[in-house]
Formats: sequence, C-alpha cells, structure tokens
Amino acid sequence: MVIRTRRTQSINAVLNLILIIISFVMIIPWLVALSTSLKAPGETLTNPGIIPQQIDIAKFVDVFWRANVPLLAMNSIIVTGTTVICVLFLASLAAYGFARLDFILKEGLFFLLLTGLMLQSAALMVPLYQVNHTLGLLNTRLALIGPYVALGLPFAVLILRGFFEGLPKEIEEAAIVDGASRFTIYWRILLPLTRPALATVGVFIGLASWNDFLLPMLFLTKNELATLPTGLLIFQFDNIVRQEHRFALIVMMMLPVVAVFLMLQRQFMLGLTAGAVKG
Amino acid sequence: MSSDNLSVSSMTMPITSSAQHKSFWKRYKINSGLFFVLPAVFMYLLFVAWPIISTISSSFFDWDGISIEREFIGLKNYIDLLTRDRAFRMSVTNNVLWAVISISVLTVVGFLVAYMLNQGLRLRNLYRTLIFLPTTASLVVIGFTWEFMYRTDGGIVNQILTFLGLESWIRLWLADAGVTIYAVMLVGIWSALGSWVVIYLAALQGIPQDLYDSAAVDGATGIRQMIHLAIPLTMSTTRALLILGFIGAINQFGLVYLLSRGGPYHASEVMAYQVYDLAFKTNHTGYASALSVVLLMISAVVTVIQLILLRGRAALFG
Repeated sequence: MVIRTRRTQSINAVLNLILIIISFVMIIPWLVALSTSLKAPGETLTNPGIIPQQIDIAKFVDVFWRANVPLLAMNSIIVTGTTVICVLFLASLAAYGFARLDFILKEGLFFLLLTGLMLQSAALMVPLYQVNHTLGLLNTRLALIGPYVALGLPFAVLILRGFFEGLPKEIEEAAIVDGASRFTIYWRILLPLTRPALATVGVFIGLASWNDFLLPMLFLTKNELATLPTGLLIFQFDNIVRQEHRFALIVMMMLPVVAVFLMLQRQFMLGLTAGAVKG
Repeated sequence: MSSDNLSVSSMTMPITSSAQHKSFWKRYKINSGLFFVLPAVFMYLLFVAWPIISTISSSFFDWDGISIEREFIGLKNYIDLLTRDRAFRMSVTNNVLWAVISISVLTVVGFLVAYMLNQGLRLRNLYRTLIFLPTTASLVVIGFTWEFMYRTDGGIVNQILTFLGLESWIRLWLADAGVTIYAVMLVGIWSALGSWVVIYLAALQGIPQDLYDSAAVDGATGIRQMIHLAIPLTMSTTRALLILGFIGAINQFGLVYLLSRGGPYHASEVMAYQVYDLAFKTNHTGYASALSVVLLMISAVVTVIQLILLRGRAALFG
C-alpha cells in the first residue's frame, strides 16, 4: 500500500512536470504579446528579449484613443449582441418545433439545417458576397449579422432540440389542460427552463462572431463600422506600425475576452463538447 | 338507393367540403409546428442555401463579378481548374498536408494531454485553462502575435532555437517556400489543441470509474489501461474529431491570409485563400465560384459520411 502511494506520487510528479512544460510552451505567445505591449515604442529593435527594460504604460491610453477602441467595441457589441439574440430566439423556436410538434416536411427541414454544421464562412466567401450584394447589404451591419445568424442556427438548433427533448412532457400537458397555446408554452414555460442550454449556445456563438475578421474584411469598407478584429487589422499609429503599439491594442482586446472566458468557462467548454459529440 | 345516395351527398356537400378542407390541413400536417421552424429555415435558405445555388450557377460563366454581362462557358471553369491550374494543385496539396499532419498531431497530443489531465492532479484546471486560452483569441490577434514571433530579426522562435543550440534550424519562417506552410500549420495546431483536449477530456470523464477498477483487478494498470480501455472507449469522439479536423483543414483561410498571404510564390496557398484571391483581388468571380463549388462539394461528401456515422451512434448520445 505504501509502495503504491509512493509510486502514484512519483507518477504525479512526472505528469505535473510534463503538463507544466506543455502549458508553458502554450502560453509563450501570450507572454511575448504582454512583454512587447509593455515595452517603450521602438524598444523591440534594441531589446528583442522577453523582459522589458523601460515599462511604458502611458501608451495604452494613446493607443486606446488612436485606434478608437470605444467605437470598435461598440460595433462589436452591436453585431455580436444582435447575432446572439437572433440565434437564440430563432433556434429555440425551431428546436421546440422539431422536438415536440409534428408537421409536414419535419425530417426534411431538419436535415436541411443539419447540412449547415459542416459549412464554414471561408468556403462561403463568394456565395455570401453575392447574397449581400443582391440584397444591398454591403457596408451595413446586416451583411455580418445575417450570415452569422444563418451559420450559427444549425449548431444552436441541434443542441437546443436535444435539450427540449430531455424536458418532461408532463409540464406541457398540464399547461395544455389549462388552455395555454403552443407559443405560450414555449415562451412562458419551456424557454425559462432552457436557460443553461441558451447560455452555452450563446457563449459559443457570441465568441465566434466577436472574433471573426473575415466577413467584416470582405463586406465592410467603412471604418466607422469596423469591429475590434478589423480595427486591429487596419490599426496604424501615426501612419506606421510599431509593434509595441500594436501589442498594446492586442492586450487590450484580449483582456476582456479572457475575463469573460474565465467567468463562463463551463458554458463554453460544454458548448464545444456538445458540438463535437453531436455534430 | 343510388339516387338517395346522390341527394344525400349533394345535401351534405358543403359540410363534406369543409370536412375535407380540415382534413387537408390535418392530413398534410400543416399546423403551428411549421411556424415554429419556418423563421430559422427562412434565414438559412436566404443566407446559405440560396447563395450557394447562385454560386453554382455563376460557376458556369466567365464573369468578373461586377459587370452586368456575363458569358456562359459551361464546364470550362471546372475543366481549367482540374486540368490546367497548377496553383490549384498546390492548394489541394497544402490542404491535404494540413489535414493529415494537423489531425495526426492533434489526435495524439490532444488525447495524451487530456489523459494526463484526467488523472486527478490538483492543478488540472489551471493547466486546462492555459492550454485552452488560444481558442478564445481572434485569429487576427493570433496572426499578428505569431508573425512577430517568426520574425527573422530577433523573433522569439529563432531566439529559442539559438538558446537550444539549434542555430542550423533557423529559417525565414514565413518566406521560405519549403517551410512556410508548416510554420502556418504549427500556429493552427497551437490554436486548436485546447479544444481537442477539452473534448477528449469530456469523453474520458464519461468513462465510469468501475471500468478502470475492474481493469485494475484484471491486472491492467497505467499505460495498459489507456490502450485497452480509454482509447477504444473514446473512439466515437476520435471519429467526430477527425471529421471536425478535416472540415477545419479544408476551410483554412485566416492564418494563411494573416501570416503568409499564400506566399512566397503561392507556396503556402490553400483552396479558400485561392478563392479569396480570385474573387476579391483579381475579379475572376466565375472561376472563383467554380473553386468554391469544389470546396463545398468536398464538405458535402464529408457531411454525408458524418451523418452516416452519426446514425450509427445516435443511441450513444441521444
């Protein structure tokens, strides 16, 4: 028994060592980003090492206003917020229908939505450009929101349908006896119960649209509509790009995401797992 | 008898027709359920299905994407693409390389890290969070950070190689036709590892402790438990990850765009990058549409495989 514990301890020590090394290698890029953001402008050329010599915090304020972070953040919030609300509403509505009601073409329509699980926006650049052009949506936020919602729906419907199917039918039957309509049952009774699944789906869809740079790059040319990732892409400081300025912006962009991620870690990982296991 | 019948039916005609009317709705199940799913279906049709169909149609034209006139050329775009386009062959090769290498590395490393994290270490949540962090970052952030790390004048990658005494390994990471695609791929692996670990971890946590206990009674411990128990029992997850990894590999665009712009001399181009270049830089919209359709068809084939596999294991996760 004693031998076994000692063996377990030494195995654990080895495992810890390996995982510390892997974790360290994985965060090297973040350490580089942080260290560069703290250096004085131009210092990287003379001091390429990881330890900053003169720590310059003041430039964060300059970069914050030069890059117009408030505008970028507002644009990102509008696009992501609208996307998440639309996906959650449309997907939960559809998921309830697919889980509980019977209607014509039910299987076919569900299959149609499932095909979207394998589509990523990179493969749809040309189709999405064409639809946005035809509908006159180029250079409007709808050129992003429409595709984000449409591409987010398949995943959301699949996860939420599974959740609705897991709810006991007795709740609905009692409501039907009381004369509630289908929509009332969905909206008043079942939707509040799906809150955990909605959070999971919302975090997952929200992060994807928050981080996307492809669609804004393709469909928006007006700087006043730029979201955070495109703002970083086009960011210049006095017409030149200094790495220290750029990394100050990168750190400012990463911090809120990391903070939100640490708070909602569980939802995010659940969404990821559900996506892989189901889709 | 027959006249009776007639008169009865003529008398009840309005009622019958309204009954038939009702049964039409009922028989074809056109009911409120449809209204629950139609908004989602409409959005999907409008922004995904219809544009794909219109892209298929424009793939048969010689078109610059702007002018009103476009010339119908049948399958010429496809024939050119598959027989004459050397850049396309290069892209396909790079996509296949990406799929094979990144999926192999992610499966092996992802599983092993998840297995280690599942051993009840005290700091496992910290390790998991650190490994997972890249998954939360925007590709633009990842692209600029790695471009900076791959720099030839004092980039950390070359600094580390120098520190390890491996000066001979130093390369122009993002400008050497022989290594650029691998350098970009490494970034892809780095950013995806966290999600593979988390997915494998969830699968491993789903294995009941009893199975490990009875394996231990049978004499299987340590590595042998992993080989004979954990690997077979997470096979369905591995299969799902293979498909997700494949879809990710053939849809690569962001990292190639941000790190190498497909260069040097098209050496690190992938299919989606070529679509971007053709459609948005050189205005060969018709040709780009054909390439998009090829890309989508590969996705579709994989989707079908996926759905067949899913049916097989619906019972597991239903």
